[in-house]
Amino acid sequence: MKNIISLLLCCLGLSACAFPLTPTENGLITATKQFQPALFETGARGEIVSSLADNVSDDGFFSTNYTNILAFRNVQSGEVFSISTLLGKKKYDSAMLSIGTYEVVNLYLQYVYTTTETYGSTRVTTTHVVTDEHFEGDKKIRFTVRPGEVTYIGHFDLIKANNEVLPDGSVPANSFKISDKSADISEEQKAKWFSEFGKDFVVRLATVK
Amino acid sequence: MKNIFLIFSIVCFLCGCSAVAGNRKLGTSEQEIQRQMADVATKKEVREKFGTPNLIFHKDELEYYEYKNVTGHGRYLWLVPVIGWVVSLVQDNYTYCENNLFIGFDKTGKIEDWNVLQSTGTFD
Repeated sequence: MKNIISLLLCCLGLSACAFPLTPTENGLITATKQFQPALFETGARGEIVSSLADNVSDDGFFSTNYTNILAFRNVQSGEVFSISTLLGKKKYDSAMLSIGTYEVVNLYLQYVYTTTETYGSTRVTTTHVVTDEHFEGDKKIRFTVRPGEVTYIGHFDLIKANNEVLPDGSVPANSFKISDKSADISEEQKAKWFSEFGKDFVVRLATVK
Repeated sequence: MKNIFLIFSIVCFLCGCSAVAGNRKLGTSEQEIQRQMADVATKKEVREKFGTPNLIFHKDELEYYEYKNVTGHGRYLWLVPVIGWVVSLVQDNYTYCENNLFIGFDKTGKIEDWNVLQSTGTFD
């Protein structure tokens, strides 16, 4: 009996290493963007809030709902984070980040996309992760996270002018626009943020250089 | 021999679903970090023990070093047939524990203040 249990546990142990429930390093870093009041108060963290929209999701090229993604890198540490919105379901996203300067590395739209391949009798389903360099090339979008500050970095409009879909299922935006839509933020949303973060937001739009 | 194999198998299994990101020299529990801090008193010793800090910032006229690591685990509910599989579909798949060590130095590089913060959560 013990031998069977040992064998079973050993098999489970080995399979656990490959099982998708083993977190990735990137997943762990991303998880730390969740708001934690004690960390926020140390002076080592700030919070950013933003909204994103596109001209694809509504009635554009693909007539389906896409997730709008803004991926950015901490210039000092190289850690990469992202915020995302889903039109019609989630208008804003926020992230608690270490203080410092961040540079946008990617702006794109993505829908839940998986591929399934069959190897003999085994079906393997893969979800792709996109890390393309920001499409604007030399242009860099930057923003700064300041200690204990909740910063509204602007509204990002992702604009698509063709119907190109990359092989991994992601859809690169062709251009973008950053604007201050802080005046459009509802009192209800502001109250929600105030309740969560304990502070009013400050407007400091991301800059394009 | 059988018992050793059994223990090894259990350890293998439990470790299989966990991962660590960030500073590997920093302990993964508050007690461990407190033990690590017991024999350091200067900036030089801190750097020797923990390496390059994740963040350097100033607050209240002190220079602060922050070291951090994050430990994550997969949830084991999927091991429970049917009920576990269903629950796994609707809840976050991972738990994490972030350890942050903040060390404040005076102008001469001596430790004036240090603090350990732990935060936990779930993610998908």
